[in-house]
Amino acid sequence: MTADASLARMIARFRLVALFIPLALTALAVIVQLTLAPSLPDPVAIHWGVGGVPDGFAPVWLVVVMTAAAGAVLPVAMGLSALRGLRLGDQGVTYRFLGAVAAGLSALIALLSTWSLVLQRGLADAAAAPPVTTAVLVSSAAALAVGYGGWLAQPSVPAVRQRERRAEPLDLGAQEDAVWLRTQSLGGFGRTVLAIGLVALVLGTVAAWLLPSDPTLRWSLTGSLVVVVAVAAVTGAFRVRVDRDGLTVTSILGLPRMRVPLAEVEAAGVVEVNPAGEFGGVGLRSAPGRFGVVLRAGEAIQITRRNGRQFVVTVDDADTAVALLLAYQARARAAS
Amino acid sequence: MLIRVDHSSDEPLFAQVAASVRAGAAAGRIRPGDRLPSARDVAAALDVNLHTVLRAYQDLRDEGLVTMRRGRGAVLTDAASHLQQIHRDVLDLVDRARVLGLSTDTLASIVKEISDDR
Repeated sequence: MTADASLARMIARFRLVALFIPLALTALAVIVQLTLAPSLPDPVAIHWGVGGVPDGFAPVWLVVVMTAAAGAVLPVAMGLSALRGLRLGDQGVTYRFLGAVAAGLSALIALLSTWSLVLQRGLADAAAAPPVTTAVLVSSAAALAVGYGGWLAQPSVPAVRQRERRAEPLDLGAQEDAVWLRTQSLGGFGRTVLAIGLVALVLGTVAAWLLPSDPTLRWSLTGSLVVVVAVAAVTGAFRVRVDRDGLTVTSILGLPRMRVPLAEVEAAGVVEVNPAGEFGGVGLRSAPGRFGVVLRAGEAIQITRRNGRQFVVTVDDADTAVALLLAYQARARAAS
Repeated sequence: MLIRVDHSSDEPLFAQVAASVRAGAAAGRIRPGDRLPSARDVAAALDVNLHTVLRAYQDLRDEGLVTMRRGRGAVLTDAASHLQQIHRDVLDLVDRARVLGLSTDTLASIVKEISDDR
């Protein structure tokens, strides 16, 4: 099989698993839910408390809208952003995993929301709805199965270590010292996502405290808000520095701080990073064999450590940073 | 941005630091509104005196390339884009001088002498 044909097959399978299956499952769920609607109580139970007693209620249409929104929009948004990377010729296990998650997630949402309605068929009052424990367990198992099926349906392709641009070492005199410093902030996309998340959480938390609501909900919302604020503060911007000691990446808060000492640098180059496909998003990210400070798409310093693991940081003017790193590496090797 | 100092050079260290900032601005690697790294960070990384870096930043301020404000540090002014505008011309001139067998130092002194004579 030629490279083009295998790429086309990979994209076709990814599209099937990450887009078509979620859309089909969600459409099916919505149709079944609409068919059930006339025989359902109004409102229906949408949340079950401890002991399996229904404690949250909503009109049927809300369940249908939520199913459509969560079951289709979420996986499709994930799939489309990854598809962009695949079309650019990127590939790897991250995409396969993303596709499988999209399929599994939509299966869980479609099955569980529909099942919970089926249980309420013919009831006069939703308060009498039976517990959903079985539905949750079986739906979760089914979602795992669908996800695993989605994983198997996609070809196993080795991650392309993005073609690394080899930089020339900087021309550094024997008595010369240099430092490269740059502050890089979170890109527009990451900032937008964080801002939307923050606004939604603030509104939700304020509403939960002002309106009569479950204390668990209040505190879990408050907790989430604290976490998101902390994430925003920590990943908002980083200072990146290359000097004779190696590479240092420090959050503008001062912590966390990540270092790759010069002695641990096996190779260094410049790569173009696609956050969704390679790391599953922006932030401090782990991917198989690599760790990334991923703030935006585009050029990045990529260091391969002695142990084979890679450290990636997306930053402007990465070429100069790598050139300096290579110059110091060459000097250290000449000295030993 | 890249700051380099050559300890074997006759040029004072503060002048070399300032020259690095100018070169970065000329090459467009740093742009108006960009903040220069803190003098403390630069001094520590290059193992030079803090006052050497501060002196360089003050010189850059005196020539209008940066503004210094408390708490904001040194920020590149619009003058940085002027440097970038002549970058191409300078590269052309350096290339021509090299073809004619003139060193960069000779070229620099010729440029200075000719402009002083005008």
